[in-house]
Amino acid sequence: MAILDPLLATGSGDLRVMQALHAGLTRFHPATLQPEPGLATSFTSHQGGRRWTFHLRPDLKWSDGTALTSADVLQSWKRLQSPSTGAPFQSWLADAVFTATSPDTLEVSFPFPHPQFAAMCSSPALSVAPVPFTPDAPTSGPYQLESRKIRDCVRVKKNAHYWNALEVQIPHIDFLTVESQFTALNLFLSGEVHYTPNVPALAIPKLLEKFADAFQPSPQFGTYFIRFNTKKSPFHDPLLRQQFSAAIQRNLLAESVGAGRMPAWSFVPPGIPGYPSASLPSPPQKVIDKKIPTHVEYLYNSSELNRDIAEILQHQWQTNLGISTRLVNQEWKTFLYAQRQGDYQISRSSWIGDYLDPMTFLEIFQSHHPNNRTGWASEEYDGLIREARHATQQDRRFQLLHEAETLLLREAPIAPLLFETSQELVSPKLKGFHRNLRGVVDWSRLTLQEEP
Amino acid sequence: MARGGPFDQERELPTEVLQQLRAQYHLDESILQQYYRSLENLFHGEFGPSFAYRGVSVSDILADALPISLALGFGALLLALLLGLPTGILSAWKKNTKTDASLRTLSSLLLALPNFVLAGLAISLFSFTLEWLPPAGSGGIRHQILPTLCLGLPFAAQIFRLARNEALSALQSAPTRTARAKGLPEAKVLQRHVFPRTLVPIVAFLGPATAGILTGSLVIEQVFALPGLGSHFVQSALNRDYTLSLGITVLYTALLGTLTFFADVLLARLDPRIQSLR
Repeated sequence: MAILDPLLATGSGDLRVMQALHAGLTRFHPATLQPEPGLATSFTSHQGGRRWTFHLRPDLKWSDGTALTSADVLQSWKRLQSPSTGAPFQSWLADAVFTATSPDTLEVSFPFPHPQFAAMCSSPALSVAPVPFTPDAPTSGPYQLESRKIRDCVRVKKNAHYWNALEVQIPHIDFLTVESQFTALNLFLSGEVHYTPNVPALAIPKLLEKFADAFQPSPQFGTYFIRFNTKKSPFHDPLLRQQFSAAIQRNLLAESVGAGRMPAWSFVPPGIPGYPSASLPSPPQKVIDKKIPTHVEYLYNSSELNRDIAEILQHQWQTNLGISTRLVNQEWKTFLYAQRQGDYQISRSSWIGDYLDPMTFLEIFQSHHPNNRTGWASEEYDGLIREARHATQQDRRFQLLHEAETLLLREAPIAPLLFETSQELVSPKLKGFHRNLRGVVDWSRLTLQEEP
Repeated sequence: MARGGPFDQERELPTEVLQQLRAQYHLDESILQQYYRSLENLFHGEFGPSFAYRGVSVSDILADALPISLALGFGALLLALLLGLPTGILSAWKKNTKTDASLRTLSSLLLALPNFVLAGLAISLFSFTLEWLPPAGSGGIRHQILPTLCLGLPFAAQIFRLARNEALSALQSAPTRTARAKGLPEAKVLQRHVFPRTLVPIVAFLGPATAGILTGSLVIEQVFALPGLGSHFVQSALNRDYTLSLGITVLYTALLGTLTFFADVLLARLDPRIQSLR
């Protein structure tokens, strides 16, 4: 656990602790992820999500017993908004205007609709944290910090002043920092821990066979894909990119890497209610130009899974296109630097959505988006995203986003490979646990049964 | 220079935010200015704030991690001495017996096994088969046993070999023969003529052993999820946590220097030949 500030945390481990400590105006349903009342008893949107009104619960309190009002929410959100905070999700509120019309009423307005804002409010970034913030400061969530030992253990204890304290069953939770997945697995198997988010790839077949009650890979809101560098030869040619994408046998790939991963035929993962899935275009007929070099380079960051996938792609491109691929692996930060500098031909990538909406996937391939990193720029695409942002009707919005995704898949600056699955190990003693698309845990709704 | 920076992540930070962060951590200054700043901090015994653990100073991290590493390292060293030295002398004294042969086989085995394999075997035996000890974690004596054992045993094997060789030559030396001829009991012979000589190569080995324990603890700390210096050292480099990795390097250098120095002083006291070189 590196960062214990809900506004700064981005690592999934840190965010899990933040979910226990800091509450938002809404909270997510543990299975469907739909927003439910949290610190706010009710929330309503107007003009397709351009304006939002939240009514706070009466008598809200911080964990030290002092009153929590709409002014505290404003302060916390202003801290997120300010660039000097250094918050990665600063853009969520960058152009928002929010005011407290009474101690328990909040009005938020955006220049264009944010239909997902109520769902976003359940994220740690928009949770209500005291200003100025210290990790020991009072919390608004179901738990408060008891102790922290760096790289060892963060212990939280129940917050008696939480609005829903009656429902909170587990008095203490220890969040352990464990680097090695094997160590985490050992701890789980010996009963020392009840939940671990990842398992070593080697152990998966055994776990599926012997621990089916604890290990059930389930779909995640994330896509494993490859980026093509469209700024450089040879992948400045869309036709070649399409050929490469079409030459990937995704079913075989998914089967080989296993663990329930599904082949991806679109960039946005399935699971968004009402959003029509896009699909990869049919493969181009034109044979590959003679001028194309006989080999290409594939860049990935060192990990067992990434290497396996790289080797399968290498084999499929050799068989289906007759092109040899040189595999280059780099340590994570070096890899990110190379990808950012456009110092690659093809590179391994993945993206995880922040909330259940196609926009969290599609916005990154706008021409000037810092996460684009392919050099691909399309005015038509930018226009569709812009139009979708301003759409007030959800149907229309989804239709525009669907068009944008179809364009993205046709132009192929990227090629989706697989949809991610969760690899959580959950003890059968932990009741009330739901595996959901975002792999988030609502600790306040769990119970621990020592004797199953 | 390693490419990539402490704030690089999959999701790129907004430009404004990134600029603010770079300014907060003085990354917007020239390399020379940054160098001067860290030297200045160093003179005050400070390393500055950690890049990866926001809001936590490097000194605090080191203060938390050092005792854990020291307990692990010294525990392992002590274990190695307590096991290696007596068995080494015993093995030499019982040369070419079954005891000698089995001790030598065991030591070869321990030397050949990398410590992570040893750790795996120990965990599967003590945590899963016998269910005596936790497989990882920190907090109590029970958590310390397995890591200490896995870190210490290979060094015990090394000390065993050194002790055995030296004891063998001591047992065959003229003073020992004379002492035996004069009718000195065997226990006294070992105590007066063999044991002190055996210590010399072992003390000389303590310097390199400390270095070995420091590096060996990287692996052991990872396997047993111990929040010591070793795992910080690796992670700080991967995270580009400049201040923390500098802090640990300085601390490691100081530790290694001090311990080697003490080993040398001790050696001079034990071995009159070294003193006579002055």
